[in-house]
Amino acid sequence: MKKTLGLVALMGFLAACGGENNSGGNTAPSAPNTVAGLVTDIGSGVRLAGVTVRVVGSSRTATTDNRGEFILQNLPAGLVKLDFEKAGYAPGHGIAESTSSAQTVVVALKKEGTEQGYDPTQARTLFQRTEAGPYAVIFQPNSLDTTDTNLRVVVTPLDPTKEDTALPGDLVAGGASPTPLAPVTFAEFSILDSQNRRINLKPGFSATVELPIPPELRSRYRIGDKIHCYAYNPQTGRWEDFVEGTVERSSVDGTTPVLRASIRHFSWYGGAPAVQDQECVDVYVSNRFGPLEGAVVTARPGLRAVTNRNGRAFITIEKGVPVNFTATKTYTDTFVDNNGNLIPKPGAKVIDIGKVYEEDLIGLDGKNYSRTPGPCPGASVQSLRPAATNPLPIRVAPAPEGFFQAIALLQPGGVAFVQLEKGIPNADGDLDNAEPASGAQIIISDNTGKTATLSELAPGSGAYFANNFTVEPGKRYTLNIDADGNGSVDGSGSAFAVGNVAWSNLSNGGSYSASSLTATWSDSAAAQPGYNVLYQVYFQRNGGSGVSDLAFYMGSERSFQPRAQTNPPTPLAAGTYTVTLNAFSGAFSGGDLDITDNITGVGMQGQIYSVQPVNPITITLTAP
Amino acid sequence: MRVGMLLGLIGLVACSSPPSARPHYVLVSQAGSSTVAVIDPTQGKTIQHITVGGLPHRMILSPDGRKVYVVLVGSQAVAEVDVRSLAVTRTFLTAPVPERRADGTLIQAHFDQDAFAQTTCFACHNPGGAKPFIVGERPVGIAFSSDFGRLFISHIRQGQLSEIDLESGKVVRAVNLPPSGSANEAADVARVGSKLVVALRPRQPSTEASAVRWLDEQNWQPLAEAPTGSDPAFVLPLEEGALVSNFESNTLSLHVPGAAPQRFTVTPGPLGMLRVGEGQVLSLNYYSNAVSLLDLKTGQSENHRLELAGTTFVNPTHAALSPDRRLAYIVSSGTEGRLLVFDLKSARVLRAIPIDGLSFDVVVVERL
Repeated sequence: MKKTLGLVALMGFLAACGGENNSGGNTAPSAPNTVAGLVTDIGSGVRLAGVTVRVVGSSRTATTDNRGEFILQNLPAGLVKLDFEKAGYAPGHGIAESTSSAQTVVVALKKEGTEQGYDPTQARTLFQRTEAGPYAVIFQPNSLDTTDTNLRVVVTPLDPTKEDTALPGDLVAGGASPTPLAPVTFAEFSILDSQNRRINLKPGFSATVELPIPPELRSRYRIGDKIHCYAYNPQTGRWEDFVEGTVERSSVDGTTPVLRASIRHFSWYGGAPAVQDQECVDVYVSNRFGPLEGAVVTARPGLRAVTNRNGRAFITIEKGVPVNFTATKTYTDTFVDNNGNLIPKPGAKVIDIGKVYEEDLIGLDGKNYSRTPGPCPGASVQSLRPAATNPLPIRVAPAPEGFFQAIALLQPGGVAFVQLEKGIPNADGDLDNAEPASGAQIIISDNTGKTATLSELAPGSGAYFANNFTVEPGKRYTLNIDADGNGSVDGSGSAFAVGNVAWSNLSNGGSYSASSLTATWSDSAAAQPGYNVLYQVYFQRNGGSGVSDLAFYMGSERSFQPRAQTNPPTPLAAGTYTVTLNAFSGAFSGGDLDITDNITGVGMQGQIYSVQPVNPITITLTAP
Repeated sequence: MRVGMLLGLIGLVACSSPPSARPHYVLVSQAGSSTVAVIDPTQGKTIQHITVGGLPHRMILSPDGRKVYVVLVGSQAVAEVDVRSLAVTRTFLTAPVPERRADGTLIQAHFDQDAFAQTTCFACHNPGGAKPFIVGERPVGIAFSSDFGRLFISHIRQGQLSEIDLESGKVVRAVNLPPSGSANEAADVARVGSKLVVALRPRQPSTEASAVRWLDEQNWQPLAEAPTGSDPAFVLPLEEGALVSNFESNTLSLHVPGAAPQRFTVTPGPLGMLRVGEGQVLSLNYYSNAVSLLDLKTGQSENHRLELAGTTFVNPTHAALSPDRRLAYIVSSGTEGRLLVFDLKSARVLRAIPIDGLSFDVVVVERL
């Protein structure tokens, strides 16, 4: 036994040495006609075990292990279409090329919407509401290909501005000269009968769908605009049935701008116009051993490319919008030792992933990467291109084991602080058995290019902050977190530090008319593009507890007329009031200060936010 | 004597053989890339891209075979492509450049940049240029006048029908057609003799009826009208009538003025149609990835899925005949675009040539 251990240790040592000497980590085996993959939850980033993976057009299946990973070997060459199924999630789909080296599929599943009953002999509008508005499907009577009258309809909305990794397949108009498609709004429509079989429309029949335009895109797509729509065909692995939809007001609520279009096949469906304004980007993919050949790089919105022996690839993207880049590489019969070396081991596999979200590149290396107008030239021409001077770097490494959660606070005029924990997410998305996560590499940067690396406050604390780095009110900050410290960014997120907030027309000890007072305040960052802050204001009469003694405001306006919580609202009762004003930015939204994850990645999630409390003041309100 | 015999033999052979496929190119409008692809079917590949303008869709070949007119749905224009040089020689606006937006506000940039002097909105609204990329009244349908000196263009927005004089390149007449019920978009126009046929549809998606309206070619006075499906996509002119594809269904309807429409069944999603022989029409059925060979006399149709070597080719839109009339070139317009070489006799796909995804129409031109 001792001998065996010694031999293994020696082999590990030799392999590690080999890796260091010849950058041999990149020469680890990558078996042909093999597809490996990682399946996560789009909402939490957690790896999903027990997902059934089916190869379309064959009987081949696999199931994700407790790390959310799977591998399919000895596949026929060519395009491989994969279906992913897990109870409680909308159907997922992925594609990969079965080629001379193993390829990776990284799929995120979305929790399905609420089930709704439907009798298909009736005309009916069914919808699933989100913050963006109602996602609706409008059925004509007897249009479904079934005699079952007890159907269940599930509409799963997807906002591509936040969840584009859950979209199946490539959003590309392919063929002779591929063109990226820019995702606007999507949903998955499942109609199930009593036997849990998927039901579709009768041949020659259609339904109408309405998909809200995400708030972030409403300035680009106006009422009356036409947007091309597609349905995903799992059989071909392509987006098909290209028809034109129109931006109109929702027929459900009469206000939300929605993309309204006809649908012929229930599956994933949505709008994505062809990208007209394109650029060619030079990317450089590396791991800890150096440049990485054969890495698959995907850009959204954009195309797909494979790196050459120098780790370089040219990839076409949409110009003028933030683009997300993902690079993957799979090694077979290999594992990673504690030193990060790739070690031969039959049956093992390593999935390297690197993500770069252009929006989060502020101040980081690569922000000013080289790009040229128009689509990238064809492959034969690419090899003749001179090397650009500043390629976009994408560092890849194995996706983190376990699950990390980060809470980051930007204190205006103070510090940036991050608490990082590692554990196992429970059904609510919270971490069970959470422990502080040490050894992370966390970089903070502001929108002027200033960066700093956060240090762990005390070994084992999982608390990180940056020395000599003061958070300036009104600046936008981005965190890039390499949670396991292996060289690749596992999660990132951005938020504005709240500006300097102060009362404009109230002062401590002042006296004001209860009936005519409109409280106003200023925020030094209010004019910043994209600045989105919630203000919380309380008027509480000292010693009072009735409905006429309290006024409350939560919203993004910078003025407020305090009114009692009566119906109809009336001026507050006369008296002495304590008035508080707080400002929140980042992970907070809505009238109830809902907290949403704005640090996202594979194997991690979290929130970055900023809070600015203004010192409470005492004022007197006089009777009307 | 020998020379005479030889010439005679050559003459016999020439007469007894089927007409040979003259050297030709296939032109395909590629909506996603603002181009027309020039495809050499012999090489089986695209040999040239001609940038024509935003969202090129329908195309029509001049009777002398020397010009192709391409409707630019996104640029409110028609591009004239010279078949010999395979280049755009002119562009024509199909409607005036507007001074104001729909909400009444002034479009100052149109004044600052003298947009009114342009002959296509693509001059400014192009990739990297002014936003939005897609502008205008959305011309879609196209037909020649009886003397082939003018083009009739139908528009989606406001149901406009316009007439372009090909010599001057100017719009000489434009009318917003009165709606028929809720049908107010002029989805297509064709000419049958001295009559125009316009398909008016409601704003999509809709389940309400559309209308097929007959107009006098000269004065555009209505002559007849009949209802059809909710989404008529294409009007195929015949000798006496017009065949309309009801895209929302699995039917084609034959319209003749003064007669009740006659309905034919094909497979779901009929879009383009092509006359392939006496009384025979090839229907391109977008949603069923199939074509139907329809005999207008018997009403019978044969349906054929578009497949080759286990691959299904999706979303066929339009087709054109090879010069020897044996083959139909079919556009498969999914995101993986293909030009299918379809043998009409055996009714099967012989070859699939890669083209851009989201392609639309096709014409065959001689190599001049």
